[in-house]
Amino acid sequence: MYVTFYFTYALVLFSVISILYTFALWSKRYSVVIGINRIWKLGVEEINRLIRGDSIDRMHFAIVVGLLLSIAFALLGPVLDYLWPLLYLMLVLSLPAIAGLLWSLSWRLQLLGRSDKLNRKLGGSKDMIFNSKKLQIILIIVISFTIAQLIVEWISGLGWLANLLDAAKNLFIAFYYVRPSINLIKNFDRPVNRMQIPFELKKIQSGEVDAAQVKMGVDKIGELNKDTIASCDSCVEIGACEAACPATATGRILSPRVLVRKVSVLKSSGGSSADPFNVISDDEVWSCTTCGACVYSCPVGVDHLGLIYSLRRTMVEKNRLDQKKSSLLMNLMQGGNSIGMPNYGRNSWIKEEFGISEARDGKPFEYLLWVGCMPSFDERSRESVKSLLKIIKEAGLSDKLAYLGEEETCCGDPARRLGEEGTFQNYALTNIEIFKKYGVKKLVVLCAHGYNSFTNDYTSIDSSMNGIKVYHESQLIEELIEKGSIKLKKVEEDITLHDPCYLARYNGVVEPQRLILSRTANLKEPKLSGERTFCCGAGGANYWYDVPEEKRISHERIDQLSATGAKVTVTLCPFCNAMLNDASSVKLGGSMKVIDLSQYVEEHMNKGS
Amino acid sequence: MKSLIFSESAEIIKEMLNFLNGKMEADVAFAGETSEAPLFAAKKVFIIDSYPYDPQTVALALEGIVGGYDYFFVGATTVGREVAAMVSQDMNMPMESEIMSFGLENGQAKVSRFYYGGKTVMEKITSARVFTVMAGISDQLVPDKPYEQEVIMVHVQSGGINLISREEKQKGSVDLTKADIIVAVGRGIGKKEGLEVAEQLASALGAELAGSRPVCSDLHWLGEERQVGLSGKRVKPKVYIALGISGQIQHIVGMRDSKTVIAINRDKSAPIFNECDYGLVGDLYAIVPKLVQAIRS
Ligand SMILES: Cc1cc2nc3c(=O)[nH]c(=O)nc-3n(C[C@H](O)[C@H](O)[C@H](O)COP(=O)(O)OP(=O)(O)OC[C@H]3O[C@@H](n4cnc5c(N)ncnc54)[C@H](O)[C@@H]3O)c2cc1C
Ligand code: SF4
Repeated sequence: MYVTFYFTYALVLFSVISILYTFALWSKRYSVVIGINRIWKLGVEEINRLIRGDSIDRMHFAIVVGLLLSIAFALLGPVLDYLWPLLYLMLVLSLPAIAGLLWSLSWRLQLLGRSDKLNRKLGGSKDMIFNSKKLQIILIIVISFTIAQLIVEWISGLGWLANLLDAAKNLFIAFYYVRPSINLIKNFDRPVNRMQIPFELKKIQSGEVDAAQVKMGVDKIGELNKDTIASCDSCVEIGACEAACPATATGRILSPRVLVRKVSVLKSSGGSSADPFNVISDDEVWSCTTCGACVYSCPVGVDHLGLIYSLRRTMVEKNRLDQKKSSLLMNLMQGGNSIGMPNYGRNSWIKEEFGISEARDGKPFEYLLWVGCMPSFDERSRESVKSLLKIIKEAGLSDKLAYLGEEETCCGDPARRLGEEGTFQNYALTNIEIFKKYGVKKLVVLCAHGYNSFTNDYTSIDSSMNGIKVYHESQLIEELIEKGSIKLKKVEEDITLHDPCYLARYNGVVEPQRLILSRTANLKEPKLSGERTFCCGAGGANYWYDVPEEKRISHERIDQLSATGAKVTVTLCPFCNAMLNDASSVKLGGSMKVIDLSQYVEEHMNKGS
Repeated sequence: MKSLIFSESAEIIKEMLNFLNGKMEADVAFAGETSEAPLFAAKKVFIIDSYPYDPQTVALALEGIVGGYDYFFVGATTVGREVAAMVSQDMNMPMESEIMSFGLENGQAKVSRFYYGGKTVMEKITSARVFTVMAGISDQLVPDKPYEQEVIMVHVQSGGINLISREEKQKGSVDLTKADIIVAVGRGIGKKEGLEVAEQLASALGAELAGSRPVCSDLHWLGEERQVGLSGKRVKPKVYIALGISGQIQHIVGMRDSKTVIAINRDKSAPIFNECDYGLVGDLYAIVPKLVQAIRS
């Protein structure tokens, strides 16, 4: 008996050493320094996700705890009887872990069939389909072995069996799960809004970098950014991204899981010189709305978006654009805005109706209002600007506000998200110069994309942008309410709220809108809200083009919002507003009123108090 | 002064020949697809062999010819714009795009083009030598009798893009972008049967029928190929008649280049009235039949 136990114990030791060895190997390969501090932070993040997260986060947590517990059982096996308080503690802990593992197991089994169908639909190669199944089955084996081991731990005299199960599972871990773990340790705190910058236009303009050497896209997998490749190779078919992806949910030909796996499998069969577009179609890449749900939900820190942007830049570089995408770029390059209207006389009505001056009039100002492309040219979203201006007037700030008029163009976000980095940086550099010219310190925006652009994209291009405080209208309004500059009245009305991806998920702005709205009405949260919000369908330049789909993303979202029972949806971005307004009128016969936050606040404000 | 004219469309070349007629001598380079060489009123005609769908290849072929000319005019089509820019870059010849008039003043070129997003016209003396010319600004110059001309075939190496196969366009499909008059219907027609009224107007005017997104891709009262707007077609007919269309920006961007816009809508504050030349406030079911009657008589 003893002999069998210690023989199997030796196997456990061997398997654990294998894990440690592969950890050392891959962390060197990926140049990741694994310190106690980092692991601690990751632990805190995991617990955070357990508390805030969705069911997949909880399953992930159960698997991690189950694995750690099972390894601890095996390693401490010979002495655990003497440490009986610890033994009992571990046995008790194993019960919720087993429950969580069983839950994960049942989910994984369902997924096996579903993902196979999807792999085929999205044109996965034989290799990819086989590999996908293999990885999923390995995950099922690892989970099953862990469950079996944790159960066996309750039965005395079966230590050898527990050891065998543990050693076998550990070898799988060493082989398949060390790389993803390292990717996670490296990337768990990478913000969703972080983007790789393929080149710096400023340096090209100054001659520091030779334009001829600049490459926007990729012809081969080997030209992808190292982190992107590591990301693709770290995918172990968990499927969290796919479950969160609005494109997958509405039957577009994209699944973020399939996309990264295609690249990884192609790389191992075709080498680094294979062209990723051998296995990926253009519309697959265009189907993405860059909502970031995949990156946000991936338990192992995969950056699907990094891959998607690289592929988009490639298509732009090669001019593989249909008329809608090229006319967006044409409008941006020639017209100064994304809507395709003449920029001439832009927003002159603000001065006429509200007496607010343009920056070039030379009057000092504290806040610069960036109206944005949509509100500048779309009658309907112009109403939101009017409301915001009325709120500002009520708060007595009209004198401290200016706007740019014809000097305002586009923030450049649609160009960057479409993959036209040069046009984006051109806009960014120009706008930064304008902000410098007027000594702008505070910027007010109504659009989630402008907000993200100015706070993240621009700061990475010019550090002077760090000196500008960017307010989303929700933040400004909340500040004004806090200060008592405006007062709201409470009404007995159920309303719901749609968080824009670029505001909530990308930038964590989730509080101000909730504080404001819960003061005025009964806020009914949709199932997917806050940082876990579901896309409206406009992001990533999708507003300007179409891809094949079974259902409009905006229709899916309006259904989710209407499931709250509320008849009013408050939006925080003019693009979300346009999408959902349209969805409401088409899908719900207009029974859901879709209204911008500023309009809702203006309607519920005590005027002239 | 000698110029070379290029387009992949024989019609556009004929327009440009008229555009330059009397101003300077012009030779022609043509890269379109025809079974026989088209007839142009030019002394020298270069035919770029086996039209290679690929602007880069066409540009390379032209670069071998264009050196002998003072000016190079290209029809402003999708292909033309690309070809012109490539030639301009490679040959180091400055370029001016989308011109609508050309003249010579003291040996220098004077052109005009739209400016400020189409709100004004700019006149400009320029040192440019490559020009893209807006389509549809001149009539075609067609020689009435056989024209004595030298035809030179230019052989090109096929570039990266090859013609693999051809598919006929779906039957019954319309090309709204070419229509002169469009009658567009919105949700204001209320029911599918209401289309009849619009159809009568369209047939009285010889117009194509189009629609807003709700009518085309959501309600499917009309085919999706008839949708005008952001996610539909961009049209620029001479006359655009909007029936029961509210005029949201996503619709407007598809039709704002129309020459004359007429709107009929019940709601006098509908945004379409900011975009039209003639607006009628009222029920389209009351107005349109009267219009049809008036037109027919
Ligand atoms: C991303 C995106 C892309 C879009 N792309 C497009 C696009 O390509 N094309 C497009 O058209 N839309 C597009 N839309 C939709 C657009 O926002 C509007 O919803 C749509 O154009 C409205 O269509 P409509 O004018 O037919 O309907 P409505 O807005 O419902 O207008 C109907 C109008 O008819 C009038 N009316 C009603 N009865 C009568 C009567 N008896 N006589 C006269 N008038 C009457 C009403 O006063 C009203 O003004 C898009 C939206 C989004 C979000
Ligand atoms: S960013 Fe959003 S739409 Fe794009 S792949 Fe990820 S989840 Fe899907």
